[in-house]
Amino acid sequence: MMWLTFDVSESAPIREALVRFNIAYRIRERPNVVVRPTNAVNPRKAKALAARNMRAEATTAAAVVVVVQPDSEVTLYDLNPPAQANGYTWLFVELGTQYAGYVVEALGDAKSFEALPVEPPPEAVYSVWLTDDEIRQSAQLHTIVAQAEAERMAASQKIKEAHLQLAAILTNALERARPTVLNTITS
Amino acid sequence: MNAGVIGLNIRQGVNNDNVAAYHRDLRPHTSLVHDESKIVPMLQTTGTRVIWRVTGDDPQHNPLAQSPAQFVRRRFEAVGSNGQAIIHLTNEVGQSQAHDTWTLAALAECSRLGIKACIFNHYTHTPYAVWMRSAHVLRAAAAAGCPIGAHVYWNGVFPAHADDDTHGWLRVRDQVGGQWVVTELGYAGRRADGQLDPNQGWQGLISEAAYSEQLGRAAGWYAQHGVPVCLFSWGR
Repeated sequence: MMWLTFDVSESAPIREALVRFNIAYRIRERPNVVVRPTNAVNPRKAKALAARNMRAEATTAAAVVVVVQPDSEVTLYDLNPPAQANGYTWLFVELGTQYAGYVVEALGDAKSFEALPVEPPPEAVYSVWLTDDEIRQSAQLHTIVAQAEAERMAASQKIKEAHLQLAAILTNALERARPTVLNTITS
Repeated sequence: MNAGVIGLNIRQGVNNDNVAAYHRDLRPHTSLVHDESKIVPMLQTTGTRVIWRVTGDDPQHNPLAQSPAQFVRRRFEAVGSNGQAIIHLTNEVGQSQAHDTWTLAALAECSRLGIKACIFNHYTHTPYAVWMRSAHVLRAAAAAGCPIGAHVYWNGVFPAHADDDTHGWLRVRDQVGGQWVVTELGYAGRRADGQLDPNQGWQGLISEAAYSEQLGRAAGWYAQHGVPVCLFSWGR
């Protein structure tokens, strides 16, 4: 029974230690969504032509967020200025609402994505009060507001994480401060 | 869902109520259950993700000789068609093209059944290059949301891996993504030739206090890397 010498089930000190460790050390889900960078421009729908790694940063050294499967529908963004690393041009890609990150535009001659036809909007933006230039400027201002909002949400996430870490530290301290309850001795 | 980094690798023949009580205290993210199907829903009720293992998946039983679809279906039926239980595929079988093909077929069967599997569970110190030979299988598992299992045994002071392959699989994860889990974690003795001794655990080598201190290091280290672990082993 080789495994017997590995057994921890009958050790009270190890049990007590494991409970403490699991309060202090917790699994946090790896982030699936990379916040869209402010230099991501020209959003458009596209279809993946081949399986491609989606990475957390625009480099092959970054962690893989997910593998984009062929025929997946995605939203592509160009990066301005272009992101180039490891001999590739990188695009920012959103896959549904669950994943976002960086994917190479092509591997050699093999393009990663094919643009999907653009459907005309049900109603074109038109106003008798605004010139085309004013509508364009308004759209740019909306973009700036949206980017500021994205930055604010990222800051909120950092605050939330810090609060959770503080809560874990306090819970751990509380556990340490809990008095030991001894079994009643009966004889 | 629990989030405690250290779970248990639970042997068959244990007292179900004791295991459940241990889990209510420990609140681990993931534990592995051998053969005792009744324990699976009990632990799931406590908020723990359960990997379900049935004897017959290691090299002595040559699981690759079995139909992968049948292998998966038998285990799924043995756990009462519990769709939340993660089916443990092979154990320390080693890398080969046949193993890769078998695992892809098993994953396809899991997909048909709408369940997840934990693949590979390679032996401790499997080198990075060996893992990467199966990169296409690892990517398929990652895309299917199926966890990838690795075994880690160490001797000395954890993480004691700076110059060896103990955690080569973490570099693999950076290449292929996916959810990884250490399905066996434990302190092991060393044989006279310097190799880790699979027949000698912490008992008789180090004290409970020393092992607890080592496990504290491991807990912090794996939490930092976002990898749940199953401590080998629980139950006599």
